[in-house]
Amino acid sequence: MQATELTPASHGVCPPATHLSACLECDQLLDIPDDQPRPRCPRCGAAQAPFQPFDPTRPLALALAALILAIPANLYPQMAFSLLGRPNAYTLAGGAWHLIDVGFWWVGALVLVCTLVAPLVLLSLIIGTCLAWKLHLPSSWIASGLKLYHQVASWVMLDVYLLAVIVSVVKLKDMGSFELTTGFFCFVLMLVLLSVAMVSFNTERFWDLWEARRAGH
Amino acid sequence: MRAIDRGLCRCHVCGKLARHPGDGSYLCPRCHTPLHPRIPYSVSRAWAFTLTALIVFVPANVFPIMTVRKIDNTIPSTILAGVIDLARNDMLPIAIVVFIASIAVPVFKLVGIMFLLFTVQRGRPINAAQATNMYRFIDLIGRWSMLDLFVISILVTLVSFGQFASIEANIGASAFAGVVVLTLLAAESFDPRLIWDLQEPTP
Ligand SMILES: [Zn+2]
Ligand SMILES: [Zn+2]
Repeated sequence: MQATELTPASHGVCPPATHLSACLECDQLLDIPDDQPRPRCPRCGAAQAPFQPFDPTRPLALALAALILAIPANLYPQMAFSLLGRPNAYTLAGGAWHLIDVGFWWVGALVLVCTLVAPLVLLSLIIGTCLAWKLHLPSSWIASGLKLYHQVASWVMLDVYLLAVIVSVVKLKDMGSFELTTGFFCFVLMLVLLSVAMVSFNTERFWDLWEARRAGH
Repeated sequence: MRAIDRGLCRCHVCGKLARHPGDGSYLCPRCHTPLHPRIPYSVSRAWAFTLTALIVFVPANVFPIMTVRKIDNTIPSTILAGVIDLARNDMLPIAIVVFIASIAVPVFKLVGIMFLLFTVQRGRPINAAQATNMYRFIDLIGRWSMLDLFVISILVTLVSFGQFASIEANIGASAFAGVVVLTLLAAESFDPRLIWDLQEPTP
């Protein structure tokens, strides 16, 4: 059974400049003003998605830039360690593959998903849905992309990986010669762009746009 | 006023506020995801993940997570031994970071989720703001436990010079990865709205 849609008249409690919403963490009904950049729930303090107008151009540009940087960040080694003249290099795929290769497929797969697969899928989803929106592609494509985004986002752990690099630097610096290489600097830039892109990609407002276009406005 | 008191439900996928009058299954009018006023079986699912994590937590800490081999010696190290080793070698700040990420965070998460589950099941009103802060903290810190696994991945790859010097992953790492994923799933299954429902008089 499909739930009935709420029309503005059916709740009748909010003035035109606010939107009725419910807090995800305490279920409080909220009237969120249009112009508030960081609305919070008055009862439990949880951050709510803002109702400011959403333009897919910004996340699209940021995600494209991040995806371009992801190429050198993954092709070039991020770290090099050498002992008595013999160097070893680290790439995200190489590290995870090494673990899988020596039999730790479960840890390797987890590392691969959190540092490589999830970020790349997430960037592709931002780019894909925003482009599909701009090119007026079928709305069901955008819907599937937005649903998938919702599931992938929590597995992106690049910030944790960044801390792991710092810990590794400290652990290895006395053992041999360690250096951070080109790939790592591209990676840090990519991480910054990805984070900003994720913040600007307000999926709830994207759904609003999607719904409005579908209704033929 | 809660959304559930007005027969409303917010779609957890697209954020749409839709009518959900009482029992029965309804689909979101916008994205056609099944609507749930509360996460279904939240408490039992969270318990299942937490108890499994608690069991896996034992091998994760008892067995070594990696072994450092040099020409003259082989040193397997558990999570705790790794932290102590860092602290002994004058790397106290990093030792503290690793201790927090690999030991304090999983322990706090397991204890915290069990506390929240007990509280919700007991059904008496509590300081909901404090309990919510605890839930948010658990949710926020959980992913940082992946730290040690990423470090292992980096060390194992960089320090592989045959019999000369090498670092190998051990079974403890697999168990630890299990703990991290299970506690993440437990936190995800727990519905924080249940904490606030305790404040409402039961209908
Ligand atoms: Zn709230
Ligand atoms: Zn929906």
